[in-house]
Amino acid sequence: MHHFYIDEYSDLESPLHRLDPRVKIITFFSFVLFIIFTSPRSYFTFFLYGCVLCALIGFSRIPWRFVLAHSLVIAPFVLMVAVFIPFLKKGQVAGAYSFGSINLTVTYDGLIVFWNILVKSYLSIICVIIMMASTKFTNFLRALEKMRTPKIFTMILSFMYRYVFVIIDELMEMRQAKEARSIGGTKWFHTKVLANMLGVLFIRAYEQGEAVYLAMCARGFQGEIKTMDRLKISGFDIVFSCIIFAALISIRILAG
Amino acid sequence: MTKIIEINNLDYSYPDGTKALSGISLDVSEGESVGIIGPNGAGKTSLLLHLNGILDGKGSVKICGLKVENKNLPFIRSKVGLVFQDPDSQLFMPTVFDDVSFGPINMDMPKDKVLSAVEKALGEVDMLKAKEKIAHHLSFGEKKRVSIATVLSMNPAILALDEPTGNLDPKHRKKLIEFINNARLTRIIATHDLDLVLKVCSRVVILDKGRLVSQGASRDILSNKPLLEAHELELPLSLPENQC
Repeated sequence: MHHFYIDEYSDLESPLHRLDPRVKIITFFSFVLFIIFTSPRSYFTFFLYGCVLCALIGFSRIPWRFVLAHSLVIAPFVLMVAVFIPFLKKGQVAGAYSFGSINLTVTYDGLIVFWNILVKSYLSIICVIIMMASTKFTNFLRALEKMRTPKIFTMILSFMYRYVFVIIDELMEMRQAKEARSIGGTKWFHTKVLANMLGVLFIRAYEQGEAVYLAMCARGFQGEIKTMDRLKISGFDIVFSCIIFAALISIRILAG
Repeated sequence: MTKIIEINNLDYSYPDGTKALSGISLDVSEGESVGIIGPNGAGKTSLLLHLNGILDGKGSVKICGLKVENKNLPFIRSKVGLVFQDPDSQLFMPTVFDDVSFGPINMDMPKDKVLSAVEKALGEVDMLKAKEKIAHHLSFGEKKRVSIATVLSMNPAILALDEPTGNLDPKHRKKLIEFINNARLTRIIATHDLDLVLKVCSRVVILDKGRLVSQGASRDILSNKPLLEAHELELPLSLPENQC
């Protein structure tokens, strides 16, 4: 069955894809820090950051549509947090509206904070999308492991990545089996059936977990998952991150 | 021939009290290929799970002369390559490489040996090209083959396969049969696929309701219609007697 994969475009051939995942994580994390620590009124700096990100997307050959579509995923969350700020912040009033007995005033300071949140979150999410889309999730986990992320955390992510699709497949199959036998029925009835399906899914996931544990024991598992470190940092990785850092620093110096 | 598996009077009940195995005694010689057949719930999988101490019943199981008990488990688990029926249970690591290297790394093999063991195991099942692939992106037949590679990389002496041809298409089934026939290991195969048993096993054991009810040369057992029918089995289709 077809699924949406977080690393759908990680098999493309590009300089960005070839980067060591550790270098990529550090570089993009620093990029996000640069974005966060930029003054909200340095509009030109944000524009230049945007240009660098566009260049990276171009290099990576990840389709623009994919990046744009995924960047909108966080929009509702950001808007939900940010939309009230222009009304709540005190300062010079930019406009006032009244709806019956409710008076709303928008301040300039509030608008600046609103813009600050919007632009920074948007640029940051683009950074994350480029990083994740150009890295195989397994390599990303390996990099996290190498960078001393607690093993239990990376293992949970790794099992999740391995089994989430198995579970989605099971859910889809159950749904098809249900559809094949569904004739009529009230909305309430279908909701109840869905609840049962989820229950079955939990039990199956639990059983799968037990079977996996047995399979692990059969291959010598003794309480600690060991994996092989196969990552290597090359000259290209260092040159790439130096270029990005140089670009970021000169943007800060030149554009303020 | 030296006995590589010695099972003596093995009893096992599941935690809910269901009797899974009772009084099983079975010896397997080195290099032999044994088929375990029987109806659903006969205890075939439970028997395989005793071979490397996943289940621990009453009675004794010895592998390569060593009793299956806690202190011998690391050695025994490196000797018995157990391939589960469901490849989604067998393949639990994110990539094929990680999965095939899981056993060797647990055996504390040095890095270069792990790499060569992985290459060799994947080569044997013709899956070298999938080394960096993610398990979920493989077809069912590919998953089955990689599952076998995950134990071959541990260089086992015994290959224990649980329903190896289940859900496989004819082409992959044929390839798997070729592979099992060419493997120079002791093979013990629990299956419903009697044609597979006829092709790859020299000896057959029938289990029914947890008891070992009959054993003998594959051709003799699998052509004995009354015996097979008494245990809810039927003659393999490929037997000349069964063809119109």
